[in-house]
Amino acid sequence: MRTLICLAVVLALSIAGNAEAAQQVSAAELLQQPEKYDGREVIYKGEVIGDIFIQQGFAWVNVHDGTRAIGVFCPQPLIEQIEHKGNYNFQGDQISLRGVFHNSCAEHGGDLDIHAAKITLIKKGATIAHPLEKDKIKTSIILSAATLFLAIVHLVVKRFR
Amino acid sequence: MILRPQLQDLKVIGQYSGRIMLGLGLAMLIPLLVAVVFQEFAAALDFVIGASVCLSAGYLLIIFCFTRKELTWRHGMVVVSLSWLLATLLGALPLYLSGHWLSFLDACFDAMSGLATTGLSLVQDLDHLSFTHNMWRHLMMYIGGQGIMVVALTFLVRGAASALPIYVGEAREEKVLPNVVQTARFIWLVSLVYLLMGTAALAFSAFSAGMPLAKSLLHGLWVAMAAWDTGGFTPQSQSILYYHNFGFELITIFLMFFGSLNFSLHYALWTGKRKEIFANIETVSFFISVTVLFSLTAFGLAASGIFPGVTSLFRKGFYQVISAHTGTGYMTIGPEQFAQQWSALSLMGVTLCMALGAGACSTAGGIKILRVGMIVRALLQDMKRTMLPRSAVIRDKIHHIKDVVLGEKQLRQAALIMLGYIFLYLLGTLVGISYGYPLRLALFESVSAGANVGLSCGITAPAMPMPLKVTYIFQMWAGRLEFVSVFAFLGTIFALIRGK
Repeated sequence: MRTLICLAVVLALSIAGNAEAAQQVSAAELLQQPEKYDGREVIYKGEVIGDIFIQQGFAWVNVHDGTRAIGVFCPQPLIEQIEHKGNYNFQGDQISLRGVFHNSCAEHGGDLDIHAAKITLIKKGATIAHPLEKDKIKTSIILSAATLFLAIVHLVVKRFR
Repeated sequence: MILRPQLQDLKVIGQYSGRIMLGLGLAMLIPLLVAVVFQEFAAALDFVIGASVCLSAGYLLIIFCFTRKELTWRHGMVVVSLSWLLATLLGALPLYLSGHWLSFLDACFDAMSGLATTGLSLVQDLDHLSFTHNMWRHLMMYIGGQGIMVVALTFLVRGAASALPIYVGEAREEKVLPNVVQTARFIWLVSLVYLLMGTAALAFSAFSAGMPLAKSLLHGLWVAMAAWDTGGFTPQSQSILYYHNFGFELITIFLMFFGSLNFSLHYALWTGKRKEIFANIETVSFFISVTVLFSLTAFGLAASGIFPGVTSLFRKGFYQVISAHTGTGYMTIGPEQFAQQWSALSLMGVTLCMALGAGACSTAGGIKILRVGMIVRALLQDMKRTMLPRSAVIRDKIHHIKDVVLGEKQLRQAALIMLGYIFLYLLGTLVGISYGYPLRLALFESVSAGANVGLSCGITAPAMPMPLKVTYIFQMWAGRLEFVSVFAFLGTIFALIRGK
């Protein structure tokens, strides 16, 4: 029941938002001028990073636009299209979302967040290759050998002392 | 006349510093293991190089600085300061090689921030950093929080008598147990117990919210490490806000509080003297200070009307106050919110929390609440004296584990260190102002660096001026070691140049 009410609220907000054209904003703009965007519908784009946390039919997604990450709260079905989450091994999916920005969200203990009503996948994420650098391999071998040599010297010297 | 240190003196310093370098090199094997487990082989190379350099430097110092001369107090102090600098330089190496830091200086900034349990960071694209490098960042924080020297005392130094100068040099005046090596081991025991409990609770919380098991364990471990050691590094760029989890906030508050307690108090609790927590001058002063400063902060927040209700105001305000007062630096708001939305009064409340700090002989930084409590107590007693007849006898007593009579010497020492911190905070503020930052923000960030807290209002960033980075590094170093060993180190360098 609670989920249904929340979905209805999100839907109503999205319809209301359509009446006034939502403005595309960056994280920097939201953080620099929070009072301008607080409670208004915005369009925000960025990479999904880290993990998606599920809470009773809703999800928390952290979206990084290249400068800062902002927490996005949305109904769970909206995240089904998200496949890759950014981490060391992956470039996360690029998404565009439409939702209401809260400078201090009353529902979430004063968090700065966006309650999304619509999420669109812009670009799929991909694996990040981490090739072994030849110079680093050479340096590693030389330094490891030097360490081993010094360890042996230390042991020999210690015995004679 | 200033006497130039002799070759044998330098050899003693080199010998002990070498052992610390060996310890640091061995510590790098832990992230190396993580690299193997999670198949992050490119990251592993950074640690093969880093560990090899540390071990080689350590062996070279031990071989060429061999001496039978005993360690004196002065040597101990210099060893501590020098080892912290060497550990910063060498600890920064694998960070820099990862490519996530713009310059070697930035990597050194983070290494010092980690070792000094500050938490300020210049890392780029933290959200794509490997598990391996994240493990090293948090491990440095844990090693630094325990005290590099405590680690060395536990594993590398045999004689308890020779260990005392280096234990004290690392700003730990109190011996929990009669022997410093036993004290160091007790510190480890307590820390590991809290670390295990904290890791389990945080990992469970993260796992329940949908994080994969292995990652939950790692995040739980890292956040617990940094919370217990009042450090403040997190594996994600949004600090604690990343988790969107009230449970995480509660668990970290618990860990930050217990991490900021004096280890002598831990020992009292450990041995069943639970009433000590309500009678000790440190905890009493801490509770009074938190109450007063939180009220100040909350009043400022309420007046500015940032938060929509009392619950939000309390949740956000209290978390930042506890994080600041314990010297941790975990944040549940963005740095920009501090800078732009928090009123001057709220910002001053948090700045004062950072400046005062928490327990002496703990992992927290700042002036330390024990000193503040002693000075306030002495002030009150002086006021009382002026109101009573001259013949009245007033005994200045405080309760810290046992009843202690407040002496002139103790008070003088506490006042001098307090003064030292005030100068340290002013130094960073002046440099900040000279680069055009507003006073309240420059003061906030400077106190955060000098008191080893790590809360940021946005000044700390890769683009900040190089001299400001160097100033903050110096503040973190001097603040963590509480000046004495830093003065001994600078004095030795001066004596080397100008001595006869």
